[in-house]
Amino acid sequence: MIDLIDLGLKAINSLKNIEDLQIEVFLTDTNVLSISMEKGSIRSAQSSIDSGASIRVFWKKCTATAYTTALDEQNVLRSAKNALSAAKAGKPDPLFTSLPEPKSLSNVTGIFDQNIESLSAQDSTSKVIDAAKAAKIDDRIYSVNVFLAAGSQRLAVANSLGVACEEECTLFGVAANVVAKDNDDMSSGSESKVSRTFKDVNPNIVAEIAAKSAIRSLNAKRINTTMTIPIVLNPKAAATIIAGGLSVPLNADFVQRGRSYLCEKLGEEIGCDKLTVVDDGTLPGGLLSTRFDAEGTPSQKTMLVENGVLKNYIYDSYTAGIEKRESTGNCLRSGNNIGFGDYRVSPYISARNLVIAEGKGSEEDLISEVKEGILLCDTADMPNFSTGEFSGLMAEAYKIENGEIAYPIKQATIGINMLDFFKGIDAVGADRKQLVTSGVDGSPKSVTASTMRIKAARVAG
Amino acid sequence: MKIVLEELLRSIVDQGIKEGAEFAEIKTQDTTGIYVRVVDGEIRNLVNRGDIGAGIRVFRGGAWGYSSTNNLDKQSLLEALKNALSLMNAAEKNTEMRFKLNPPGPFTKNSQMPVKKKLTDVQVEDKINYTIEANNAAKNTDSRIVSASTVYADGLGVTRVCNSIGTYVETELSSVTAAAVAYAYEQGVRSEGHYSIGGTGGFEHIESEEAKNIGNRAADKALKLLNAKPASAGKFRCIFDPYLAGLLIHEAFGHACEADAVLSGESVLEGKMNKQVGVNEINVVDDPTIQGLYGSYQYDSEGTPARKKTLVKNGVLNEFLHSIETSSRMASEANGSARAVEYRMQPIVRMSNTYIAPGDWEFEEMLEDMKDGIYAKGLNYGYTDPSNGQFTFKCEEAYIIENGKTSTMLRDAAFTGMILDILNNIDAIGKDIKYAPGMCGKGAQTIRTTTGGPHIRINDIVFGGVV
Repeated sequence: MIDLIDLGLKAINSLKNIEDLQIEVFLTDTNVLSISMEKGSIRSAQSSIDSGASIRVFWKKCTATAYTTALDEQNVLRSAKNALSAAKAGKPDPLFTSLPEPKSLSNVTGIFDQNIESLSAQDSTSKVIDAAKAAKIDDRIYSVNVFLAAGSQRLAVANSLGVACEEECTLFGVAANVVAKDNDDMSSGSESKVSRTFKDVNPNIVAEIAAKSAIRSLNAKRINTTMTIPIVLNPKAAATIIAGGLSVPLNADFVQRGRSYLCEKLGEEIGCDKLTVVDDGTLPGGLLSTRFDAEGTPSQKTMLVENGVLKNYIYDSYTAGIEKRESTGNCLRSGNNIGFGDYRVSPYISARNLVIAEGKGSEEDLISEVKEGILLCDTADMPNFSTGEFSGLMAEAYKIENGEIAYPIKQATIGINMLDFFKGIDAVGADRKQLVTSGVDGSPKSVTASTMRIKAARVAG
Repeated sequence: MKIVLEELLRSIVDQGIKEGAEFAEIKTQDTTGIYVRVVDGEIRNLVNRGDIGAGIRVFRGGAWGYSSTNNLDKQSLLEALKNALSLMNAAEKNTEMRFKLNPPGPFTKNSQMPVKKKLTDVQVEDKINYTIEANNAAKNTDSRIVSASTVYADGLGVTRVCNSIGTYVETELSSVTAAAVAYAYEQGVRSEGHYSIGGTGGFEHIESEEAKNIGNRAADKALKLLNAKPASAGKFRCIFDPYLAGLLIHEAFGHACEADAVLSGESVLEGKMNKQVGVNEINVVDDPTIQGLYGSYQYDSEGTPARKKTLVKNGVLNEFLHSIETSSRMASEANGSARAVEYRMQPIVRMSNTYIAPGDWEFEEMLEDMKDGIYAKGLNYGYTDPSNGQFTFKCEEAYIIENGKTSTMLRDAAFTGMILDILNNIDAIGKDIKYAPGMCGKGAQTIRTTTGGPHIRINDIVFGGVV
C-alpha cells in the first residue's frame, strides 16, 4: 500500500528551497465496485481503481495546480514542478493570505466500515437481484432498474506549513428506478440511499419505496389551473429545495462578491422560528464527515440558521483570510461519489452535512390539516442564487383535498421566493432522514430533513 | 512506439477472448488540458490536467465486466483484464436476459479533429490573458456589475479503442470552451447573466469576435435582467428562441430516443418507432459530424464511425441512438452514439449535436400572429424523466406578448411539458438556426454536447412563475 502522507511530504520537500512558496498536496486512493441491473436482469459489474495526487502551489501569491493519475514518486514530483512553473506564468492574487496551519483534529465516528471494503461482486449481485424481486409489488410494475455501488477511499492532505492528515472512509449506496404501466399510462418512481455503513442500507426497502412511488403516480392528471396553495414537502423535496437555497448562497466567496440573495442578511430573520439548520462536518456517520476538510482544516459544526435567524456563512481558508477570521472547514473536493474526495476536482466551498431540526408529527399529520394543497415528493430544480427565486417542475406530486391525498399530478410547476419559503414554513415533522440530494448543479449534497409544510406557493399546471 | 502500443492492446483483447469472453475491448486515454478561472480580476484556478489510463470491457452471454487502471504497462493491463473477466463471470452467472453481440466493423483509422490553430502552439500566458481580459470586460461594462467570473478550458490528446473483432481506432482530440458569468446589483435587486462558447478544434474558437465578447455579453444580460419582473405562473402559448428550442429538443425528445432507455423500459417512446409523434413539419436530427461544434466526433467510444441520425422525420419517429449492445438487441445498426467521458467509465448511449431542422417561418410572423403568450430566450438548464414523459427547462429571460408585440420582461423561470405531446403542439418552425455548446449529464458522466434549432412556437406550455 502506498504511504500517501510520505509521498505528499516528498513533493513538498522537493520544492522546499523555493522562496515565498506554499504548497499543498491532496492525494486519494479509491476503489469502487458497482453493479447495474436493467429491467430486472444483471447487466454489468464494474471495478474502478483510481489513485492520484493534485499539487496546488502559491508562489509569490500566484496559484497553480497540477494533478497526476499515477501515484508514484516520479510523477508526483514532476507534477509539483509543473504546478510551480505554471504559477510563474500567472499573476499574484493580493487577496490570498495563507494555506491553513496545522491544528489538532477531533475524532469523527462511523465513517469507515470494513464490511463495505470486503463486499464481493457475487454478494453485491445477489443483493441487487433480491432488491429487484422486492420491487415486484404489483402486476403493473413494468421495469426495475437497480444500481449498487460499494467503495473505500484513503485520502490525505499535506501542506508546507505542517498540515499532514489522513483519513479512511467507505460508502455503500443503492439507487432504484422503477417504471409502472397501466394500459397506455406510464409512471416512474425513484429512490436511493447512500451511507458510510453497510447495515444502514437495505436495498430491498429502497427498491420497494421506488416501486410504491411508481404505482401511486400512475394515471396522473393535470391540474389545469394556476393557484396559490399550501405545499407539504416530503423529506426528499424539502432537502433538495433547502440545500439549494443555502449551500451556494451561504458560501462566503459568493457573499463577499455580492452575488447572493443572502448578502447583508447576517443576524436578520430570514425564516420562521421553526427553521433551524446546522452544517456539521463531524456528524457521526455523515456522508460528508471527515476529521478535516480538503485543505486540512478541522471539520466543525456551524449554526447556519437558528430559529429563523441567519447566523453564519461558510468559509475556506481563502475567504476566511479576506475577513481575517477562521475557516469553517467547508473546503471540498468531491467528485461523482458523494463523500469521496477527487484529486481531479479543484477546491470549492460547500456545506458538509446539513441538518434541519425536526419538529412534531408525521407526513399524514401534516397533510391532514390541509384542505386544498399539494404534496411534493420530488424536484431537481434549484433557486436562482442571486434573486432567491425558485421555479421548478414538480417531478412527483399529489393533490391534497380535505386532508387526504386525492390523486397524482403531472406537468405542474411550483414558484416561490426562497425567503417566502423560509418564512412560510408552518410545520416541520418528526420523521427526519439522512439523504443525498442531487440537484441539477451536479454537486450532490448530504442533508438530514423531515417532512415540512409551507403556507403557500404559486402552482401552475 | 505506436506499433508497440497497438500490438499490446491487441494482445490484451486476444487474451480476453482466450479466457472466455465473447467480446473484448480496451480503450486508452492520454489527454492533457489547461483550466483557468478568473474571479473579479484574480486568477483563482490555473490547473494543468493530465489523465492517463485504460478501461477494459469484456462480454459474455448478456453481461459485462469492466475494470479500469491508471497504468498502461502490460502487467497492469493484464491485471485489469483479469479483474474484468472475474466481474463478467459474476454478472453472467446471474443475468436472465441473454443475447449475442453483433458489433459492426472492423474499423481501423487514425482520426483527427480539424484544427486551425493548435492548442499546443499557444502559450499558457495567452490563455490566462484571454480569461483576464474577458473578466475585465465584464467588470468594466457598467458600474452596476458587482462581480464576474470567467473560465477557459481546453483539452487535447489521444484516445484509442481496440476490440476483439479487429477494430483499432485512434482519435486525436482537441476542444476548447470559455464561459462568463456576471452579477449586477442596483437598489436591492440582484441579477446574473451567462455567456459561453465552445467547439471542437483549436484556439481559433477563442480568437473569434464572439469569444472576445463573452464578458460583455454576460454583463449585458445581467444588466437587462435588473429591470425584469418575477415571472407569472400559468399555461401559455410560447415562442422559444433558437437556444431554448435546442435545449427543449435535447431534454424533451433526445433523451427518450436513447436506445438504452428504451431497452430498460424507461422511455415513453418504446413501441413508437415509425409512428407519428409530431406535426408533419418537424424534423429532429443528431449529427456528430458537423465540423467544429462542441458535441462533434468522428468515431464514438466503441470505435464505430459517427454519422448523422434523423430521429424524427416529417413528424414520424425514425431512428434511435444506438451502441453496439443496443443495436444488437434491437436488430438495428450501431450508429456511433456510444460515448464515454473518460477511461474509467463504460460507454453509454449519448446525444452529440442535436437540433430541430429549420422550417419556413420568420420570427416576426410568429409574433404578429399572437394575441398573448410568452417569448422566452436563453438557455439555463433542463432535465427530463423519459420514463414518465415529463421534462423541464429554464430560460434566462422571457417577455410577455401582447397583441403581437413583446412587452414586460420577466426573470428566469421553468417551463414544463410532456414528451409525447410536445412535438404535436409545435405550430411554427423558424428559418433561422443557431447552436449553443452545453454539458449533458447522464449516469455520472457529463459530456460535451451541442443543442440547436430555429425559433419555434408551441401551444400548452406550463410556465412556473413566482406570482
